[in-house]
Amino acid sequence: MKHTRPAYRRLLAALSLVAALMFAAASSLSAQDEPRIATDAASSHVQALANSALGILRDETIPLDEREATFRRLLREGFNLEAIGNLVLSRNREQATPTQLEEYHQLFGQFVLARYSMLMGGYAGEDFVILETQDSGRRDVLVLSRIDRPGGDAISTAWRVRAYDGEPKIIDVAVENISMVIAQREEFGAVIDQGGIDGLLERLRTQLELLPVEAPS
Amino acid sequence: MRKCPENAKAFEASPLWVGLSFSMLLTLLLIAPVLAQGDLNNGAEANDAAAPVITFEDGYAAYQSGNFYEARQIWETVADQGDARALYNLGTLYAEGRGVNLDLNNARTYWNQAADAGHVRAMHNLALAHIASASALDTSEAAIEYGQALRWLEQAAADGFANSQYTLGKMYQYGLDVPQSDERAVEYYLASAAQGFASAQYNLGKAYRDGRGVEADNDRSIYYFTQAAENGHARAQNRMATRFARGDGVEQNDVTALYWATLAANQGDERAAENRTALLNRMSDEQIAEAHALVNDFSALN
Repeated sequence: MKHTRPAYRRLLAALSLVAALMFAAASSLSAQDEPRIATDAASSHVQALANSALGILRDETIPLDEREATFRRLLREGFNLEAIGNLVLSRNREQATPTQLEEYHQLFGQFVLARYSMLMGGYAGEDFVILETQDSGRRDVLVLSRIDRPGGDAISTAWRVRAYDGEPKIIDVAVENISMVIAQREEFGAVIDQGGIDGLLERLRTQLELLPVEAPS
Repeated sequence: MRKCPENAKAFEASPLWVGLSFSMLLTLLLIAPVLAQGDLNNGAEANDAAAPVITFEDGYAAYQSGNFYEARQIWETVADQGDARALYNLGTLYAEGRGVNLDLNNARTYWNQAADAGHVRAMHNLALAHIASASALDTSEAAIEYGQALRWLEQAAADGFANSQYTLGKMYQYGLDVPQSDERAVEYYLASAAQGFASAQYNLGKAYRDGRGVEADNDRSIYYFTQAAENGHARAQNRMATRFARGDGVEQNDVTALYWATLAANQGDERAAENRTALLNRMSDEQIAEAHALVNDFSALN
């Protein structure tokens, strides 16, 4: 006699298969096929971030290092630092162990936030103007902006925005047509070529340990 | 340094002329700094007393306002007078790309000048710059960079600079251009930790936990992790959160665990953020409020 599986086992198997397919679809969706964020949502995201950031940086009643610390917390929310870290590491990601990768993302996040806060720290008195938005590739929106500086040349910036779980996140910024991701990828690639992933981690650790400017005693 | 006026040598040893010469020389030496300030203020009028004196503090005020370009200009003027602090700060502006294009070579040049003048922060940053460079070089070239780093770290550490003592500890812990020695590492960590340097305290917490360079001692491990956490070290704070959540070596206490996890998560520690979420899911509203009050107290004090 042929043994048949109890009905509830067949149901459980069917449900498991459906769940697996849904999970795979969701993963696939968030990783590859998530719809491009609407251009006005991308623009609003960048404008809101800039408004909040400049508001923080302009308050000279608070010491610069505290203003920049608050600014970095703001950036952490507006950027997808893990995605940026992966883009920068690129093909070199394959040679990193899970432990190295974990430390890399931790250090990279601190490193890029510090770089941006130092870059923006000097722009507190300027005006931020969004010029236009453009679709870029399958998944991204570019938000083109200008930072007007009294007595100086305007700075052009382009913010690459991508959707993650329906939320806009910045994954690259180009200042005067120089992409941060590309610049960092080249710099890190040179370090990895000589010293491997451990060499890169050491470079990031020491950069983060550099002392800031000295205050008057 | 201003040179002695050459005509000071022209008079013979007659007491009268010696006295007059000495008086002239002394007068010139006394007013030289004022003259120098007047010369360095571009467009200063002949009446030097009316010319504004540019100071290191002026540069710092510009820096605090976010006017990095102006800060650089001021510190360049002040650095020309030999102010090592201004030289150091110029190097830091170049290292961070504030008001200038990021330029680590220029940074090192300024830090070298400041370090030669005995500025310990410059010595430390210069050492770190050498270590960072070594990471992108082959073995023989890297050894040269590490050697330079060691030289400056040892000098700054001998001057009692806690940051450099800590970094030397790391060099001995990882055997970077020095013989690997956990014992020497702990010596330097102890010197640095005694001055309240949180990273050194954290590393001592690990050393006593693992018995590396010292005999394993759980109580001393917890002591140093606590010290580091109280001094704001994010990973130490997360470790304390984990210990209190599990009752590992300490009395189990979710309020204290959430307190430490929140402080660490607020600094961007991802694991602490996960721990915080887990704790929030199992704690009562009263416990959560108690923990948040502690966080507010910590923030107010720091």
